[in-house]
Amino acid sequence: MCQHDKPKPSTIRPGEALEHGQEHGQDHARWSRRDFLMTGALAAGASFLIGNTPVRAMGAHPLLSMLRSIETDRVLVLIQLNGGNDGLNTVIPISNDIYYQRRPSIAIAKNAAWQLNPELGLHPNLKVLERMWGDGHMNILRNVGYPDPNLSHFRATDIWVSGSDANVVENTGWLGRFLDMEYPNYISTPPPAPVAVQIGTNQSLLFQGPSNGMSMNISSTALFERLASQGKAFETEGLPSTIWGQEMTWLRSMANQSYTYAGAIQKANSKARNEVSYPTNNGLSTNLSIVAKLIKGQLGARIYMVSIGGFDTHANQINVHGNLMTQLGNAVKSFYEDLEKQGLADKVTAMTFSEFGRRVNENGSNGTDHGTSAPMFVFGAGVKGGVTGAAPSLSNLDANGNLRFEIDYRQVYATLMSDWFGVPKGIADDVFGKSFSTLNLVQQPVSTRLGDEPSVPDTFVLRQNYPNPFNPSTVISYTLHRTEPVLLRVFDTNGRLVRTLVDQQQHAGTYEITFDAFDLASGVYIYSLESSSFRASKKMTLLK
Amino acid sequence: MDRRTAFKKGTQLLFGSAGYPSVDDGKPFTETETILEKVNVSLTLEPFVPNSNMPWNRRRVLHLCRRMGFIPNPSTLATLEGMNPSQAVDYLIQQAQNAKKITEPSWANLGLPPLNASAAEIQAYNAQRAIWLADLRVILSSHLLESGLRGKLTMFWHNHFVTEISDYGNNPQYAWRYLNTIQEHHFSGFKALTLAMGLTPAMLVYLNGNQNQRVRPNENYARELLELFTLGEGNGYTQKDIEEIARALTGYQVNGQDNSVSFVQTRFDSGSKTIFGKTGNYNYATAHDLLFQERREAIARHVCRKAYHYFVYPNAPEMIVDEMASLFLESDMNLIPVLRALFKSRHFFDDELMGTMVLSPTELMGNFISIFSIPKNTQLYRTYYNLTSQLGQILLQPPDVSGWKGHRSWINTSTLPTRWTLMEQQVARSIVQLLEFAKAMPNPNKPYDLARDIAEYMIAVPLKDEEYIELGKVLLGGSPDYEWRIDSNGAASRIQALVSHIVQMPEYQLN
Repeated sequence: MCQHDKPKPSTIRPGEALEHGQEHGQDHARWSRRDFLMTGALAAGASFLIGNTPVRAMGAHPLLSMLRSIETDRVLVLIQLNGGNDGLNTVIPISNDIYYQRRPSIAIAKNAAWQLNPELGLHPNLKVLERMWGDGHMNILRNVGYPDPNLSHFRATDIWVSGSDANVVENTGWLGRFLDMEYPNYISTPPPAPVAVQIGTNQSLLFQGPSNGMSMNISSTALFERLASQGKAFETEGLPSTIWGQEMTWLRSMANQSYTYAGAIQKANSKARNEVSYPTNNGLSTNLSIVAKLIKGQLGARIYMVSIGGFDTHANQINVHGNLMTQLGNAVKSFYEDLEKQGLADKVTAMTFSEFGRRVNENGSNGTDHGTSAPMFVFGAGVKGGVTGAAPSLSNLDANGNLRFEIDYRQVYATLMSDWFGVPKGIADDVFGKSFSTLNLVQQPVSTRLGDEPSVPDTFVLRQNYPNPFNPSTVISYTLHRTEPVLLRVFDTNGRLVRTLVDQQQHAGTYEITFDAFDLASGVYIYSLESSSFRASKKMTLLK
Repeated sequence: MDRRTAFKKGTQLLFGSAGYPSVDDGKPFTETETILEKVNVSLTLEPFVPNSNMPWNRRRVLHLCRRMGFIPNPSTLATLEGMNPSQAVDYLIQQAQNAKKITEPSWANLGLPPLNASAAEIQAYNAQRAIWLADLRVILSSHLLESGLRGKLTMFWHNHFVTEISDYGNNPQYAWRYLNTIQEHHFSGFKALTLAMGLTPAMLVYLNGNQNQRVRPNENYARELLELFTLGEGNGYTQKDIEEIARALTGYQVNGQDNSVSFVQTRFDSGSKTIFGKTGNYNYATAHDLLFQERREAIARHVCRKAYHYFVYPNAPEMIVDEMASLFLESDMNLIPVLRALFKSRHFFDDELMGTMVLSPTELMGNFISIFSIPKNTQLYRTYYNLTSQLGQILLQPPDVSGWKGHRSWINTSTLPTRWTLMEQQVARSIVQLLEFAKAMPNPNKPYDLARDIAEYMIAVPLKDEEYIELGKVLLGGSPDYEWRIDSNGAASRIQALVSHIVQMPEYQLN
């Protein structure tokens, strides 16, 4: 059983909260070293820019680097194929006679398939991914599932996103639990950028943490457009001319001001553009184009999720499934071409998943019914190309005529957590409530966190402001132990800079700076002290 | 006349001259021209008779429930839907009358430690007091959550006769007496409540009646009695009246050892006083008699206007206030007949007035608990107190003597995200109840209908069709609609996603 309700002090690093100013500086220093190591490692690789990304991100959001604890520059994109993708017509066993016997009307002929090797073909409409495959930027995981599979869309989706056993009803998502451990102060001290972004109405359980959702949900492209162009989440125009309309206009404007990440989205969007043209009439492609922009614009989110529906192909599936494969292939192709333009293809891994595959036998309506295990794709230049796992047996089926899985889907998740994000294995085990072996999917696995590095000496102190709460002025005090350039700035909780209090070289000693907030609205503000050797921040509350 | 002037006139007509009472970062209420378009709201208390334009439908039943208490659970809603509007109002009032009173705690009559108490005794007392306070909060929360209109009235009077518990030493016995005084007068006259309230230990300490004596009169209570509790600011009294009433109210003292209030003759100013131009040797009772006799219309209008602001909309049309005030006077200043007529009126059920009030924290959380029949137990009552506190409404601790400002003042860029977060947390903890609720909807197996029904239940004003469809998609989470089954294992988390989405819509904040 999972034990998510238990406190897990071991996974909460003491320096993570903004409140822990001093520890935090040390914490940051540790991570800086790590960043340096990473940069060094990557400098030999293709992309020099990547090494700079964290630095740039800090430029955009000075607080970001203090809040993150997973790799700053690696991104995971989940592509959910809703409805149950027909795995056998996606990754086709072209040399298996049983496949052609069981699917006389809908099987994809060997010579029609995109043949990767004599026994393995892909759906022909995926052939747009030929270059990615050739470059080794695509891994096909075969026969992924879990014991005692469930054939209900809703329940099976829950299992896939919660990362639970089939007989465990888990009300949180695996990424929600993971992010909850990574960002224990997500609610009290929200990071300046969202850590996860979901695009589409599919607000998945995936990011549901033990008590809160851990993602920002952009439910529609219209919402994205509003956020991107106007920095607001809710339309304040055009409400009816009634008292309700008037109250609603006011409430929505308050909501817009409160929408934590509107500014961050707008900013990221303004810094980036799509550098390839994405196919139209393809919802997945539209959503991935948004993801690309946000990644390129350095939003700072680590995980994105998009989805595409319609895979429940009970009838006449040849055309329906074919169209979906076209959409998937084209969207992924454009997405990676777009990322490549900025040399980011090896920093972004994308993974497809679906709640189940489909029955081996076709049904009487030229379709297929709900099945069990299915293939997954993992894309990206940071991925090891190839095929993982054997082709499913079409003769050794379960009682319902469905496939028996080989790879547990949580092995894929655990691999991405540990090798892609560098999360210690223990955390992955905590997330799933048990241990899963990892797969060989990632080109350059991140060595897991350096836990016991000596911390930097205590070189500075940033004290809590006094008075706090305050109105309208308060005093911020800090101590320097050597001469260095110092930057003391105040941010709002959206990470927007509201005031620079100190920006100069200062000698060792204790300083008291008065912050006068006469022109600011009530609320929580964050003051951040930075120099070449340290960085710390604390919260303060203005109460007018 | 330009449109702006026309608008102001229209506003005047509809909402009288009582300024907009709520605050929003100190900025005045932003008027728009919208109200002008709808001056055809009925401005009398003529009874609501349903017709095809104003049907007695689920939306109106919910509106009534929202304003008389909390949004009901489906079974209570079904009961009310089987009645006509008048019956429904009578039923809800009767339910409140039948509701159990606040139970008297076992510690209600214990007192402060003796004046010569040892340090250890005082320490022991403080430890006890913390337990009593926690107990009192549970008692109050359970009262608010379980007694419908009675709880709603308690909050009304709590915010009328304001006291702040920290100002009377966080004394649980005083707080209990204060609450009990309110509840004893829910269904009787305002004058009796005023007379009783002024002699509660909480009020005597809070507004310095306790210090008000012949040689050192303290006019604090007398001022608020006129300004806030009975007449309204600057409305028919002079500074001299305040001073003279203060003299009449002298002589009362609180004894913390037994929570008693006693009249001490030597502290009473027995000289003659001139109040509202009448001279006599007024004391506590006769000064009140004079006030309620000389200023009865003003009192009636003040109390009824506040009631309108609390129950209907924070800007009362004076024509309605007039009618409410007449009823108030006809019924010996009992508010219940006034509310009965108000809730039964066509005015109250006008579309224009639905979904126009910002939920207070106690209403926000109370609605959620009520809709989904969240099991009520001590833990829930504690949670209720804690969550409403986090949202800026600390029970027994209004911000100042004028009380919580209400309406828009509840929302700012800090409290709104906090509301979202806390609601989302409550949703995540209530999955079992959410599912039961969904099953009680008319078409739980039709996902788009289900999403619409849940949204209509939880949101006061109808959304656009495309917005309901969006909510259907949120419910389905990408899965095919034709395979949706409320009984399937995966349904619960989808209901959670939908409700979590709804409670974070700005629309949800309006009652």
